[in-house]
Amino acid sequence: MSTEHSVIADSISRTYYVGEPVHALDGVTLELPAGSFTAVMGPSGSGKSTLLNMLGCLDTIDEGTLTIHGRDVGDMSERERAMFRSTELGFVFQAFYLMPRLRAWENVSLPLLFGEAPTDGRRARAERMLDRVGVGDRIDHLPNELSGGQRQRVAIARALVNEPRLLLADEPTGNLDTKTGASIMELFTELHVEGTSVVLVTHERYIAEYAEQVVHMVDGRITEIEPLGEVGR
Amino acid sequence: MRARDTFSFSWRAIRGHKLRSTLTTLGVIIGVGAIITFMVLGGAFSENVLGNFDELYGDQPLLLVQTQTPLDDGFGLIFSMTPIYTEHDIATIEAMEDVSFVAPLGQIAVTQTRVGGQQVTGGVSVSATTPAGFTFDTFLDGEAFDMGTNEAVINRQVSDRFDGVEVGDTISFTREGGVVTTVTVRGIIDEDIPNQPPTIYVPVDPHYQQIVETPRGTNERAYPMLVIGADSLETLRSAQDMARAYLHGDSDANALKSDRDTILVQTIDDLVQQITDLLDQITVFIAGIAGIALVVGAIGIANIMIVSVVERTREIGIMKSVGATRRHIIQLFLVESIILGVIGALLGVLLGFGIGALGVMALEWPMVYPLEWVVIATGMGLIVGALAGVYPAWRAASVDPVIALGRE
Repeated sequence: MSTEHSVIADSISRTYYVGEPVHALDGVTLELPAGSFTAVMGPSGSGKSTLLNMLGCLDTIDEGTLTIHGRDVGDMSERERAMFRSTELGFVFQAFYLMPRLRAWENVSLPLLFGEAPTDGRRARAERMLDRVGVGDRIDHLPNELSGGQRQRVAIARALVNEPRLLLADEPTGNLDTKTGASIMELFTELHVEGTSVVLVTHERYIAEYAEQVVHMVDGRITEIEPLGEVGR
Repeated sequence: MRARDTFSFSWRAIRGHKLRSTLTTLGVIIGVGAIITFMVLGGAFSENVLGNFDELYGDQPLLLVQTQTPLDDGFGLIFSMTPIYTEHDIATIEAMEDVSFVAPLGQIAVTQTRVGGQQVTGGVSVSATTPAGFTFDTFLDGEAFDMGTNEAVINRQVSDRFDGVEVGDTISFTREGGVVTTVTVRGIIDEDIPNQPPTIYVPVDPHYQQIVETPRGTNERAYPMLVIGADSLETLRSAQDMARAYLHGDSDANALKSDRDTILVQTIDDLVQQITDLLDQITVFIAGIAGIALVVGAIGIANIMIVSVVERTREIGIMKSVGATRRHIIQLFLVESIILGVIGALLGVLLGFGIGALGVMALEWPMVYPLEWVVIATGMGLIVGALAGVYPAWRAASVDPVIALGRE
């Protein structure tokens, strides 16, 4: 049964036409078990961000099939994908992407606004999440009143608020200093240990080493899947 | 997404850009403000012209017979002063069932009027009529004149004009041509009609000398206007129908009038309605021109909203990445645009009432509050906001999150 897998990608391709065709993804096949922790590495233009967009249902597949949590993502309408994003997936970005005019708790509760889940007790739920990621004392702050590390924690709390089974992170430590970056990676490790599947794009080897396996990509293809062994060292 | 959340979200976006939002609504404020201003001024003008005329005279079983002349250009209401209603016509109508009296009204052109030591040039009008013409008037003092005498009835305005004229006083007026006539005041009536000039009423015999040759070959007095009294309000309409049928048929007046002219037989209500309709037309026409400002305002909102969509591309991308559908995004931007439109309209209503009140004060007209237009204006603001927001909202919903959150 595919539900044991978080992600099953079967030779998925994506071609962009920027003057001439660019094969951002060129037949990628990948299986990620539920609860796994995977890092994706590769040079610029290797297709690692495109892969993350595919897993995040932000972009559509040209060829191949992609199954996430047992659902065929390629068949979904735009609306279905939006609903799927809000319930099954959590995004964390390099530049945090918090809504500048919303307070920390409001940013965290943003996905609840668009979902179908009951919206009662949004604030309480957001506070719990902020507590969980270690910024329970910054509930009413605006993003520009927070440090980079705190902003990323708020962003992670937002990604977690709908209790998704798959967390997608694009260079989550890219805008942070080494020490802060390390503390954020500790947080991802904890979430993984608690059972959330994590896929992380990075170009830093020491960040990738927090994961169980590293997927290496070049020119839209997977060149190597490198196992790293048990996480939680 | 709950309506309250949508509203508070959109409201916050508006408050986040106070200056820009204010400038955006300015177009709608000015548009709606201009419309309301003209509605206030138009309403006040109408009120000034008509006053409570209808209330005071609407329950009198009276018919006014006048000749309407078309305007060569534009629209308006002009009554011809050509004397076409002959003694024969008066006698014929008077003989009709339901008609209790017919009083002619003739103008006597005068240049100067004198009471005791005071003399005024112009400003006082002299009309010739019969005692029946005062049937429904309220006499403050005295009574109607007798025919064939040098007696007069004056309205209160004459008394006011000359610092008090009483029954028994004499008034002299000089006709065009220099003939001086002296009359004795027999009664004073209260004519509470807005803009009614001081008027001296004298008996047609011996003072009115407009003679026309009738189609029947006789020479008779003829008048530019008649007042017909019906027996009661119940018989007013049938009297009106009969009088109209005759006057539009084989009356002297119908033969004498110019081809372009129309003989009107109106009740007081008809007349008030005609004037009100005309003023409303003018007011709406002018307000329509002011409405162009509203169109400009709508374009302003659309313009700023498009800029705002471009500026908030990333925010839209974030919202989509956490599960917002196209519909959510459209909802947010449309509500934002509608809020701007409605706020603009409400402020415009206040501005319009403010400017209107100042104008009305300066012109010394009575202030009116066209409240139905507050509702209409708010509705217009809503529609303007919605229309202006459609395209920007669609643009926002079409933002591709991959590009909006562009990486690599």
